[in-house]
Amino acid sequence: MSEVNGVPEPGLQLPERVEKGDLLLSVQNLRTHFRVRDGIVRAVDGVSYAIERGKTLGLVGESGCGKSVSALSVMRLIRAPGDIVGGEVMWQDRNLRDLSDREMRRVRGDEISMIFQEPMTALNPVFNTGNQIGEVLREHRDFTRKQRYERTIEVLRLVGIPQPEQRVKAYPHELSGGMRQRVMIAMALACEPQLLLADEPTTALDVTIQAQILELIREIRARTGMALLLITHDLGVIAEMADDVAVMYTGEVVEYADVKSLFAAPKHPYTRGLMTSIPSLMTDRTERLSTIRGSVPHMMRLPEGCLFQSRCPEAMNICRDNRPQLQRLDDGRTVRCHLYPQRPSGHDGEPLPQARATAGAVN
Amino acid sequence: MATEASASGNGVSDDVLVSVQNLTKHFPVRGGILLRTIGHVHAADEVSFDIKRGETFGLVGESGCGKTTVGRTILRIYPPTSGEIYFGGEDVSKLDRKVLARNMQIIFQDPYGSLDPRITVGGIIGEGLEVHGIGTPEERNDQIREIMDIVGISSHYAQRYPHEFSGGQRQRIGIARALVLRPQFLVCDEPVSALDVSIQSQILNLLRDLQGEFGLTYLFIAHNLAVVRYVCDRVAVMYLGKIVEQADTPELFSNAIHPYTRALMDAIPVPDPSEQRERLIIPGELPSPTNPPQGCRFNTRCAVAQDVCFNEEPPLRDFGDGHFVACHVAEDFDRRGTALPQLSGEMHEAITDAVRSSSTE
Ligand SMILES: Nc1ncnc2c1ncn2[C@@H]1O[C@H](COP(=O)(O)OP(=O)(O)OP(=O)(O)O)[C@@H](O)[C@H]1O
Ligand SMILES: Nc1ncnc2c1ncn2[C@@H]1O[C@H](COP(=O)(O)OP(=O)(O)O)[C@@H](O)[C@H]1O
Ligand code: SF4
Ligand code: SF4
Ligand SMILES: [Mg+2]
Ligand SMILES: [Mg+2]
Repeated sequence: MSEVNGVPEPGLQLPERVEKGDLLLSVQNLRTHFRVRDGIVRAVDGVSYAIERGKTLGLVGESGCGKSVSALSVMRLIRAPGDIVGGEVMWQDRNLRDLSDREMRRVRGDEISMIFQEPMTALNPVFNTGNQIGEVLREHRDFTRKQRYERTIEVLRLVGIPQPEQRVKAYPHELSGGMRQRVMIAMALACEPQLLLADEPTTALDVTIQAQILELIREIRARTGMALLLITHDLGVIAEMADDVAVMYTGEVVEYADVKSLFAAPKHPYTRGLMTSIPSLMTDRTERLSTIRGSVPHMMRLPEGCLFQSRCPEAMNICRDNRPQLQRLDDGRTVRCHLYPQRPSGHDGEPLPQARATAGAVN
Repeated sequence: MATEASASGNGVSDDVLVSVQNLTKHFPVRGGILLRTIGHVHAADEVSFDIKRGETFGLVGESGCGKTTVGRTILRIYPPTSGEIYFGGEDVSKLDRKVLARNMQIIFQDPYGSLDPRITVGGIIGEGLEVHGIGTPEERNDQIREIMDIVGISSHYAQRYPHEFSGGQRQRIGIARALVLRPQFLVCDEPVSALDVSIQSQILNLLRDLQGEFGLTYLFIAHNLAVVRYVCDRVAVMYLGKIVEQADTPELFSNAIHPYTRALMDAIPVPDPSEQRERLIIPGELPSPTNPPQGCRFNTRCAVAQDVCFNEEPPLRDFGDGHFVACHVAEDFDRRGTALPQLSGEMHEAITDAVRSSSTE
């Protein structure tokens, strides 16, 4: 396997169409680790994804697979014991990892902003709504007090908060979950970012409120041309909102494709498992649900070889000791699984000799 | 045609295991320095339904609409403000608590918070047996081991503590604890909402297997309509403490009548990117349950509300075949789907207007 100092070489990690697109953000081989008492948690380990201008990338996967950590890494909001230990975060022509803290603060909240998974931890409980949004504007815009107030009212109205002149005085605990989420979105939109990172923006909300918030995000996206990284574990939300999807499992991207191809023909056994195990309004009520056996392995006790092997219905001998690489299929999508023949980087054609040899040796 | 009725029969027949009749539960709201009662949360108001032996009865609705309150009041974890609950024809207020506990149990939503971290898994599961003085310690251990194997937790782990288990395993432990007394009736309060998607289907299958094996009757509380559709035989939809619609599952999902039920169904994201649809979005939020709206409780969000909806509370009316609806204009939206496009158009327009008027152009 192609590795330099134990670090996997970035191969064909992005779907072909994405790689050739007009990229706003390109995360390349990102590695973010946490040093904890009994070892290292490789929360994000060689993740690559990219977002084209105006497009939406959905990031799916189960709890703990590294979705939030990857987005927080883009924003450079990883705190000890965590650290970004490798990779690049290309924002247009700059690597965000090379910026000074001061330069990064200028990007954050202005060019790129984020809606956090837990609104209560992101909102400051002692500031009222107006002050929270005003603070973002003070940081990034040379506005007068009056301009700041007007912009605050404007964004609150934009996110559908009724009577914004009154609501600017409300403190976070005085707002419902849906309203709080709207305030978070208003804060994130105050400076009209080119990219919004939305981490489970609706997971804690009821479906009717979720529908309102998704519609709001859709409307703003259409009006401003903003790009979106949407993190969720709800495949329905992905299907409705995303252009491309990256499926994550234990710190890695295991499949990456445009949304239609992915739902039409999921390639990775994990993606297939996710899609078939969730009851939908179409599920046959008389059949047993199909399941993915077992559960996500502990991040500190990951196996050699494929990280999904203990749960995979199609695991082969080769899967036990060989960690599969992401590779591009003929249709331009990428998948990390030994079921698909390995190709040498940059070429379409014969499987790599050593991959064939390994496969032959264990079978 | 629709006749006024209650979804719970007055005479309790043999095939009914649990009968809930006009159940009302209000919680006092305290305020001021003296913590006087300054109002009441109307968590459940005049709720009636029957659960038949061996069936799964679903209760759905947005958070705060009163599902958990109904479930816990049935089990007498909360005393009701008014109304009656019958179990196998007997008034539960007259039954001994121990008898109740042997017959009715609950599985909680939160597999993390609901297990005592200081007690071994075997201890947690066996607690009920001990409280009821069932068997010798030997026999109790056998029963604990047996139920652990049934729910899919190796009985070798009986001496371990809850924190050593994953969410799905903890939910299995919660199920084992509820089943060890071999109850007939189980309240499943959002049993999979807190679990990872791949684990949810494992637990749903387990609940289905156990129902077959032990002939259990379930009250299944959830907010995920797709899960409810898969699991339940009949479903009641709650809004702000009231049942607004009730029907057999296939009927409800093919012919939902109440504007709230329709909106709820429409709000579910569909995991199929090739399906582009116009969805109805109901504006606004759940009003305060301390001060529910006059007339129909849904009138603050309903796109087809009429004058009467602001004055008169719509009764739950019988539309035949076990389909009950509480809406003044239900007839307009009833039957075999013909009125659906009309409602969609109207609602959609109203919503688009609402969105427009609240945003700057
Ligand atoms: N501060 C921390 N210290 C140690 N480990 C951490 C820390 N933050 C995250 N991790 C670990 O990193 C991994 C990825 O976490 P992350 O929050 O990105 O998951 P996620 O995919 O967002 O999951 P969820 O769906 O639950 O939000 C997990 O194993 C988590 O336990
Ligand atoms: N113990 C309690 N004390 C006071 N209010 C309560 C209590 N339990 C529930 N409530 C209130 O009753 C209403 C219904 O709550 P609940 O039954 O938990 O709803 P659901 O389970 O449908 O989310 C809510 O407004 C809730 O805040
Ligand atoms: S590499 Fe092997 S174990 Fe891993 S997902 Fe593919 S078939 Fe399954
Ligand atoms: S009774 Fe009136 S307000 Fe209530 S749901 Fe029916 S139409 Fe809407
Ligand atoms: Mg997360
Ligand atoms: Mg509840």
